[in-house]
Amino acid sequence: MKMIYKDIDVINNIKKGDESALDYLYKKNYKMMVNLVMKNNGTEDEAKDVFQDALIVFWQKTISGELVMTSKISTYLYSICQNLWRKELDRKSKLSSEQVESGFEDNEMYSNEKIKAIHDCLNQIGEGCKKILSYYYFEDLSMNEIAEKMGFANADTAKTKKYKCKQELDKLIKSKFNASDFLD
Amino acid sequence: MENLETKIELLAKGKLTSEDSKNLLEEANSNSSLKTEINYQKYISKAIVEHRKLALKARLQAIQIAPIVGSGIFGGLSTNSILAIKSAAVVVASVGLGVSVYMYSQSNNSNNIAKNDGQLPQSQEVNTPIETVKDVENSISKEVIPSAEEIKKQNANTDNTLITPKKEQKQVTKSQKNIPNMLAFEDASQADINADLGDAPAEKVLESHVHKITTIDIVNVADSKYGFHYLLKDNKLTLYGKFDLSIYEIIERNNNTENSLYLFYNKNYYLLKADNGNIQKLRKLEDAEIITDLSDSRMNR
Repeated sequence: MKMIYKDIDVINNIKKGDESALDYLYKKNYKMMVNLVMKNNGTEDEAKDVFQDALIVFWQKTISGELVMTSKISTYLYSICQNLWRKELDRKSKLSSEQVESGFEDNEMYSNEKIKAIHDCLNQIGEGCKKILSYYYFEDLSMNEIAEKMGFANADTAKTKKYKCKQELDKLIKSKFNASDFLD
Repeated sequence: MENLETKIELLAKGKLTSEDSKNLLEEANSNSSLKTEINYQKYISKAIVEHRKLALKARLQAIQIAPIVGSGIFGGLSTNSILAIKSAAVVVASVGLGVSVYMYSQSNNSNNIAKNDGQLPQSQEVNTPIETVKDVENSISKEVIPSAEEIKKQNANTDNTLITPKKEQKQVTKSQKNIPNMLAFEDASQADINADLGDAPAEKVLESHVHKITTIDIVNVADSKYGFHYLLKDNKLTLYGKFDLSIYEIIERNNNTENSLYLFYNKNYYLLKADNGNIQKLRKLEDAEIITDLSDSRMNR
């Protein structure tokens, strides 16, 4: 049975960290968002990628409290998709001309190899630690909010836990890299 | 030192004030160990954010949605929409026209609604004329993508993309949706949701996703002293009058507080309410917000 939720219910569920709300938005708006990209020289895979990124932006903004809704969620997502796809087209266009001029792609600011190595380290730490670090860095929650979500007694406990998790991660990363690797 | 660590973390997250950022970066220019630490923290922040994004994207990527071109207007069709089309299709099937609408929606959406589909009966077997399926695909390929400003307008006209096979009405046509009267979760399984919530105390969120599936019989009495009336009683909907201008759909709209049934017929929506067993005239829905919601849902199914 299809449930139709009001926007406010979806937003409240996202704020509670309910990821199935994202699934709901994905299914509900898929056709509209994918058509937007496909009608503008994109493939369905590119469209999916853009729409998924848009939903992640929406998730992040909602959960961090940055979101100010002045329209329906679908309209908001549509705008994000438009912007993301426009940026992607710009990037492709620039890439194409730069490749002609210089023959190679621009280096990214971050080394993919290092990011991937840190991902490997993240996969070695416990689920609880991953969640705490994600709440802090990605969802940008305060220590109070992290304590509430994780069921800790208070913000100080959350801070201590986060510190220990970070230490654990640092230890793993430093077993793979030297300090000088991050000097660039 | 703790203050400096916090500042570096905030800088890495892009949350430090511009003035503090400027000061810290200036200091880092003359202090290589500080510069290294800032770069390191930026990598940590970036990697954690990317890691989380990848996990969310993987979750979304795992959702099965039929490809746009092949899915036609029934792409992403939800269970309740299928119920609606099934009920309409049974009426259509009874006179042998537009049968493929039913079959097409059945076959193309089995993936989309895998978790709910198991609750649907498979007993209403009908043959599938190929031509009608082609018509569906053609109608999709001609569909125009709305601009953001046009979304509302298009919502109001979504029925233009629907197949509306002509049909003759038998005097009494009955369809029964044999949906088990059981609890169902929207989209995610219990196990998935539990895994997502982990040890966070937000498990109560789950409760908001539990709704009861409605089972409803639909009867159409074409020859009646009542024209364009209905009776909703004991999970049975009786429609009085001739409904031969288009297929009709029954839409159930759920949220946390209410559960309402609507009839969509000939470009209009009608709220269906049980009224102590009284036969009521079908009155066109005027609430723009609900109409937009319903249209939106139908358009995106």
